[in-house]
Order: sequence, then C-alpha cells, then structure tokens
Amino acid sequence: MTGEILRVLLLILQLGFVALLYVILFGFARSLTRDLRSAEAQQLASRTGIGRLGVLESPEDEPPAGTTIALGPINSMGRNVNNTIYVEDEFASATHAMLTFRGRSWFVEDQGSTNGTYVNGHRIERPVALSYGDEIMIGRVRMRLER
Amino acid sequence: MIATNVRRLAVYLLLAFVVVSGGLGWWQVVDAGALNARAENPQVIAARRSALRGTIFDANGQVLASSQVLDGISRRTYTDPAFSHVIGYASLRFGTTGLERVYDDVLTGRADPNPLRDLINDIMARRTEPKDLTLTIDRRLQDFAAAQLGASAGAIVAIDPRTGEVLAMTSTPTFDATPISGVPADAGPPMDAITARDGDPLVDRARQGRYVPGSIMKIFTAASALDAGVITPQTTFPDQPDQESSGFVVDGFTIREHDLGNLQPDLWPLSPALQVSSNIFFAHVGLDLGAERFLQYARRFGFCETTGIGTGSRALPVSASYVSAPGDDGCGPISDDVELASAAFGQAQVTVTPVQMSLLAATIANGGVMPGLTAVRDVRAHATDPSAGPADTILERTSTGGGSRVISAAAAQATRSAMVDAVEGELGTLYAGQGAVKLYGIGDAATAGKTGTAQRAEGQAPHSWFIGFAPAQEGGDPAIAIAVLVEGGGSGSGLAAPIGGRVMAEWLRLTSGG
Amino acid sequence: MRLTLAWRWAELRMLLALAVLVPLGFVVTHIARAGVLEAGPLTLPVAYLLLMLVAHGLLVVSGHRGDQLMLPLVGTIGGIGLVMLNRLAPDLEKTQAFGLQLDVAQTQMIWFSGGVLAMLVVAIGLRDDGLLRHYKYTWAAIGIGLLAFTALFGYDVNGARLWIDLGPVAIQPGELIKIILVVFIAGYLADNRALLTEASLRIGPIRVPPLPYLLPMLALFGAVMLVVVRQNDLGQALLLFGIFLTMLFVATGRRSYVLIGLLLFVAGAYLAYRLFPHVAARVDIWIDPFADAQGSGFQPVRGLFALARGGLFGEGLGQGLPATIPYVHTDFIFAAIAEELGLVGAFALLAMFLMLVFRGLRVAVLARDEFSALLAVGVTTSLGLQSLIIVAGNLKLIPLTGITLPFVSYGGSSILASFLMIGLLLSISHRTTLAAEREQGIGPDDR
Repeated sequence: MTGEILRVLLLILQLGFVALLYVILFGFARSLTRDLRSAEAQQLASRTGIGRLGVLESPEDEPPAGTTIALGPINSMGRNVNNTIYVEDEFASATHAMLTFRGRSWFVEDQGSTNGTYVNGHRIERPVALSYGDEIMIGRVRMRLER
Repeated sequence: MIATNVRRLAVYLLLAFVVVSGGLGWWQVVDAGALNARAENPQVIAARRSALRGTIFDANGQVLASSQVLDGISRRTYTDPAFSHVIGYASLRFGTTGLERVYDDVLTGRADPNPLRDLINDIMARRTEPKDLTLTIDRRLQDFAAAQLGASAGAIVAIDPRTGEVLAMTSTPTFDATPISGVPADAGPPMDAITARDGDPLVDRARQGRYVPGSIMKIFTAASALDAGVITPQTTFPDQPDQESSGFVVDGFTIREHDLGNLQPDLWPLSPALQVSSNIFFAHVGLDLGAERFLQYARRFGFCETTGIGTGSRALPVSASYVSAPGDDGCGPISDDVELASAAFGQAQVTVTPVQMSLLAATIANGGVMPGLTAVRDVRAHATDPSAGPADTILERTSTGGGSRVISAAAAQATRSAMVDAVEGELGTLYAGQGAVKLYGIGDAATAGKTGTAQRAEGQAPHSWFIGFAPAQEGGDPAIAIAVLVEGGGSGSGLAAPIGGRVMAEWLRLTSGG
Repeated sequence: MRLTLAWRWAELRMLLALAVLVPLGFVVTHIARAGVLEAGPLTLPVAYLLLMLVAHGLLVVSGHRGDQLMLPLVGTIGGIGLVMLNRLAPDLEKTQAFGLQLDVAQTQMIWFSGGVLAMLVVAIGLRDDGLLRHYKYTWAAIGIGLLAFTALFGYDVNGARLWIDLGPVAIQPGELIKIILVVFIAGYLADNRALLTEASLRIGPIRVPPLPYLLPMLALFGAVMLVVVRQNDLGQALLLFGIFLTMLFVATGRRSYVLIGLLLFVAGAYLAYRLFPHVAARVDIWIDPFADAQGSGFQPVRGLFALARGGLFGEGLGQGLPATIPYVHTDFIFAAIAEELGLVGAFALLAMFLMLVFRGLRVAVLARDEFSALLAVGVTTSLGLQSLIIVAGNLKLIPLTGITLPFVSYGGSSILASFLMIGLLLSISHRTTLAAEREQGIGPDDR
C-alpha cells in the first residue's frame, strides 16, 4: 500500500514539475508581451514620430513660419539655443515651456515664463493636456500640434 | 529596413516552430499507438523480459501455458504440443504468435479488457497485473484429435455450431514451444531444430494452410443453389446419366466423372448425387447458379477474405479461402463456365483452409446461421497458483454475437438431410460411411458429412478431407461440427472420414455426462 | 569598474522560479529511481541556482542594462537540461574531466559555470563593438586557422573530425567558428549593405546579387563550408548555411538571395547524396529508419519509440526508458524529454526556445546600429536554427544530424558557445538601452 501512496505522490510531483514549467512559461509570455507593447510605444515616440508642430506665425522667422518640427517625447521650448525647440522671439523666456508626451497624450507646462504660455488663446497655470490641432503660443510664435 | 526584415524573419521562425510542434504531436499522439505496438519497441521488450505472463487454461481449467520469473527473466512453459499452433509461443527472442500475440497486452498486463479501467490503470499505476485466459478448447478432445492425425501432416478443427466456440483445433506436425520461450540466449538451437524439420512444423495448417477442397465443396454449392432457388431436393438434370460415362462438354472442355466403380449411373436428384459425389450433377448446379451468385454466396460464407477466430484486435487471423484466383475483392472473377463448373465440385482455383470448411459445416448444422468463432472463453484475474485452476474473478467474457444468417433455414435443412444420407444412405455408406459416429460407440446419433478427395498435380497423392456434424438426425441438436484434413492422405473416405467420426464420437461421449 | 547599480527585478523574479523547478526535478528523479520518499542529493541544483544568482548579481552590480528575460530563459532551458542529464547519468558512462570521475550532470555543471563566466565577460566586458567589428578579418583568419588546425590535428568521433585535444579537455572548435563567422558576416554586411542592396545585375526578370561585392564573404563562407563538409559535419554545414542566408536576407531584404541560396542548397544536397555514400546512407535512414531497425536505423527508431511512449503527458520524469536510445544525452536529449514529460512538456521547452528567439530578434530590432542588429540576428538565428535542426532531426522531419540542442545537450563546446552568444546579445542590448536613455534623457527606469 505504501507503494501505492508513493506512486500517487510521485505522479503529483511529476505533474507539478510540468505545471511549474507552464507557470514559468506564462511568466515569460507576460513579460514578453508587456515589453513588446512598451517597445512599440518607445518606437512610436522615437522613430515614426508621435507628433509635429506646425509653425503658423513667427515674426522673427525662427522657427520659420510654415515649417513643421518633428517632436521627440520631451521638448523644451525657449529663447535659449539649448532648447529642443529654439524660439527666437523677444517675448519668449530662456526656458519658456515644456512639451512632453506622457503615456498616450501630450502635455504642455509653462516653465515660469515672463509672458506665459497660451493654449488656444488661454494662458495656462498648470500642465495642460493637448489634443492634436490645439494651438500653442509662446511669445508671438504661434504653433499647432499635429499628428 | 532591417527591423522590417527581422520581423519577417520572426514570422518564418515562428512557422518553423509550429511545424516542429506539429511533428511532435504526430509522433507523440497520432502515430504513438502504432509505434507502441511494434514488437521491437524496447518498452514492449523490457516489459516482457521480466514480466510475469498470465496463465492459459483449457476449457476445464487445465494449465496449458504458464510463466515464472527466474533470475529476472520470464520463462514460459507449455504443457501440450497439440496446442502449439493455436496458443503459439511467447519468446523473448522470436516474438509472439497465435493467441499469445493476439492477447499479448492482456497476458502481460499492459491492457485491461475494460477500457475505463485501462485508462485509470494507465494514469494511476502504469503497470497492471497479468491476466489469465480460459480457452473454449477442451484438452481431452484436442489430444484425442492430435492422436488421430498421428504422424501425418494435417489439421482438425472442431467447433460447437451453436456458439462458434472452438472445441479442438490442432495441426500436425507440431513442435514444443517451451524451449524457445525460455532464456533468450538458449532459444536459438531449439528453434533451428524446429525449422530444420520436414513438414514446416511452425505452420498452423488449420488457419494458414490452403488446400484444394475437392468434393466437400459440393456442400457449399448445394446449400447456395438451394437457397437461391436454383434447385430443389428433387431437381434432376436429364443429360446427367449419360454424361456420367461420356463426360459433360462445357465450352469444348470435357468434364469427367470420378471413378464410380460398379455403380450404374441413374437420374439422380440431390441426395443420391451427394451420396455418390457426382461431379456432373454439381457441375450442372454450379452452371445454373451462375458465376455471379456463386461468388456472392462464397463471400457470404466467409470465403474471399482474411477472417479471424475472435473479433476485432482479439481475432486470431485465418488466411483467406478462395473460390477463384485471388484478385480484387479477394476472389477474382471466374473466367469461364469450365472454371465455374469445376469450382462447383471443389476443383479449379478453389483453395480453402480447414477453419473455413469447419465453418461451412457448422453453418449447415446451425440452420443456416454462421456462428462467430472464438477460441477464448474469458479473461480472468491472475491465479497465483495455476495448478489449483483459474481464478474466480472473470474480467471479460468473450461474446461471439448471434452469428449471421447466410442461407435460409429450409435450404440448410435440405442440405443437412442430404449430408446425413451422404454418410448413412444406401449409396453414401460406400463413400463417407466411415465418418458415422455410430461406428464408434455413439449408437443413437445420426451423422451428417461429406468426404473430399482433392486431386493435386500428377504423381501427388490427393488430400483427404472430411467435414461433418453430429448428432444430425431429425430433431437432433448438432453439438459438434468438424473439418478434417490429411495432407496427401488419399481418398477422403479412407482416412479423413474415420478420423472425423471418431473425434465427433469422442466429443459426444465426453459431453454425455461422462 | 564604475559601480552603478541597476536593479533587474524582472530577471530576479523569473530566476527565483528556478529555485523550485530545478530541485523539484532532481527530487522527482530521485524518488522515481530509488523508490523511497526522500529528497536525495541536491548539491547540483543548489550549485546551479547559485550560479544563476551570482550571474544576476554581477549584472546588477555592474549596472548592466541589457535584456532581463535572456538569462532566466536560458537558465530555465539549461535547468531542464540539467535535470534530464542528472536523470540519465546513472545509465551513462562517467567521464574523465579535470582528472575527476564525474557523471554527465556534474560535468555539465562545470561547463555551465564556464559558459556563464564567458557570457558575463562578454556581456559586461564588451562595452564597445569595435573589437569585433574592426578586426573582422583578423577574426576570420583566426577562424580559418582553427578550422585548419582541427582538420589537420583533430581526432575523429563517429566518423566526423571535430575535436581537438587540449590536455585536460577536448573541445569542438566548430562551435567557436560559428560565432566567428557570424561576427565576420555581420561586420561585412554592415559595411557593404548599401552596395548590396542598391547595386544589382538583372538577367531577365531575375535580379542577381552583385557578385563582386559578395566575393570576400562568399570566399570565407565557402572555405568554412568546405572544411565542415569535409569533416562530415553535415548538421553544422546546414546550420552555417542557414545562418548565412538569413543574415543576407535581413541585411538586404532580398528574397531572391534566399531563393538562389536555397536552389544552390538543393543542388548541393542532391550532388552530395549522389557522390558521398555516407550522405546517401543518412538520407536513406531518414526516409525509412524501420528498414534496418536493428542496424543503421537503430538510433532514430529508438528515438521515435521514445516519443511514442511519452504520448501526451509523458511516462513521468524518471520513469521512461530514454537510455534505450544511443547518444541520448547529446543527439536525442529532446526525445528523452518528450518521452518523460510528454508532448505537454516538450512543447513548453520548444516554446521557451521560441521566446528566446523572439527576445534575440527584439534586441536586433531595437539595436541602434546595423552591425549590432545584424550580429544580434546572426546569433539569434544560430541558436534558433540549431535547436530547430536537431529537434526536427529527432522528429524525423529532416535527416538526423549530430548537432546539439543549445543549453540542453551534454557538451562543453556547445554550452560555451551558446552562452557566449547570449553574452553578445546582452552586450548589444545593454548598449542599445544606454543609447536610448541618453537620447531621451531618462534615468534608469525603476521597473
């Protein structure tokens, strides 16, 4: 009878081994698919582009009006040349605003500029989520977020 | 660009893995059963090498084959060489044959007859106990039959026509299966000795021997023609008496009667024609029946295909019997009337096994219903002490089913009474009279039968045949049907008929409370 | 070394699952064999786990930012292999390695240690691919030299001259040459990709590759193939050919190259079948192994029987008859696993290989430069194709060859080479992540 019990126990352990193999397999599968998604998002951001800024109006022509600027996930805008988007306008501050892609949408945040950042004509106080087609104004430079 | 190509590559590799997984499934699931059954599978070999094998008992619980494990090797002992063909051998060196092969998984304990228990065993224990077999064959009758054949090569098949249970089935010359079923290393020389002997002792003549039947085939022709309504017991052929001496010209070929001795030909209906075994009469019957119906009935009687004793995977294979040259559908077309006329009295291309002919006799005896054959009565739990008889626990009883109707009861009855006349009628006693059980101490039983003298090539002695059953009198319930073949035994009346009569008489004696 | 810790939680989590899997496998094997309920010796599984954890720890301490699933995947696959080798060990001869009498599982454990060490050296030490890329002709020369040396001074095992004796151990240089060839092809294709893709000759509707540009690569590849075929190492030849075509396809995107390659392969295979008796014999065995089941077909037939015995759920770990297959620990380890773990278990193993391949290809897709991408593709293809070829050989889908199942089959050279490849993938992945982070100005993520 002890032989019987041993056999059943062994069977359970053997099944446990294969079951554990599958637990591990599914663990891998989950990590794999999750990474696949984040990789896609990353690529969306860095390669194919997550959005562009169309320059509508630019009195000093820097950035030139009528051009579009490809955006990375994080863009600083201001009169300092080290900004991602360099805005040559006397009403813009050195580091004027940040335009960032977080998760699935764009945000713009004023960086304590003197003359403020406007979204669709309204001056913003906190980070504001943007939709494609929204207009941003820094100094006298007017730009539109495009896909 | 590279990224795109890499993605394509990923798809190709995925497909390759899918294909490989498919291959895995093929071998492990789809084709696994076939592979697992192959005798060279080490699992089969390993299990067999050390595994105790079940015991095989005769109908009365006498041990016929038993195993013991000594020094880790399973050795099998067979008590009676008369059973060597039907039981076969289970050799670690030469594989398994006969019932040992057909019931291998049961005897080794790999399978349980009950599929559900089989599954549970498989999951739980992976190895089940060996199981024992009880045969329907009675060792007393088997030994008696083997003794009748003596030194001649031949076969005897006796069956209970009501149930299809095989009562005796023996083939000579036989061999001792014990020395080749012991330690594998020692099995070579005995096997060499067996194969070196004359007469192919390893061949089971009852199942695998194919012989020209001669006149016993007339039973088939008569029964088929009666059933088809082509003849009645009174039908006669006006040309027949003259043709007995002049010959019957079919398509320019003259069919001649066998030597009738002093007998005067007459206008014979079925019964006297069967008594004197008139080739001319049965040639007429065959031609009237026609080739198409002849083949049709042959198939209904079980000719033209490999059959078995038992059903499904448990069937002990029986070679096909033919009524024409082997071809598509087993029997090829009958080429012309000459062949048809000759086949009707058991010559031409007709070749049959003793098992098939015993089945023909049994079908007539059983009122036109062909019984399903079996040689195994039941599967039992393993008896730890075989000498004390089989265990009481029956795991599976063999069912042969009700049989299948081949010809009408009336046709069977007419054939039967002609067969009784063929043994006991005025003219018949001259031919098959030696087959009557009356001569061997069973006074009250009539015998139905037919002899056959199968002509072979010039210079070779004919095969001697007898088929019959008893008791066959009006109202009698036939308890045994038999086919006897003696290779090169000469006329059927001389050798096969008395053997048939003695064996049937012995069985009636054994079963009449003695 | 700059000490910048980078936690690798995903890696650690998956590695911890091994802490149950591998010892469980050893315990089950012991119970099945001994027939008593006790754990049995657990030195090997503990050593294996420690090895994996040490590797993880070193990656963390060195601030490695490479792929986190690679090591656990390889660890799991190798763990299954170690369990299986330990199960087979009592049925196989002990080996004389490093002057010790060791069974196959113990010897394999030593190789695992060497392999992981080699992997770490490459993964952590190779901070810049210049060493590989700019010295590709040097590497090619070393490879050719190794091949020539083996062909001249090596010794034969089972009709193939693959081994050289290095005193305490014998190695198969073929495994290393595989890596060298991948490095060389990646370097060459990266340098000449534009030419190969743009320039082409047209003969009718068929675009023919610009042969002159391919010549140096073809020359080296041809030389390696020649030697490999001369050595009767058909599995290796098939593998190298597959790697070459795959890398060419990925670099150029031309299906026509692959097509021409395949046609050449078919023609070559047919010629080999007609010319070399040993190739013909191999193919005949493949077509019908049962024709000579006791002779030449013995090994594959025994393999098929093992698969069939396994069925859907297997005979149970430790309860099959895998030792009935000759060379089960090298050629037929997959069949042994399929026998004891069944279709279910063998499929899981295949799935892990597939994931490893996907993971390797992901490294290639994310890589910032073409050399890295092609190198990752080559290394991944090598591992993937090698497992496909030997598994398909076990399953009688293609003729059986004597190559190993990466991380699973017994064999030092194979283990070393396979881990070196993982090291390369980790190193590429590490540099990719660093570059991406620099670009996006994101600090190390804390996932």
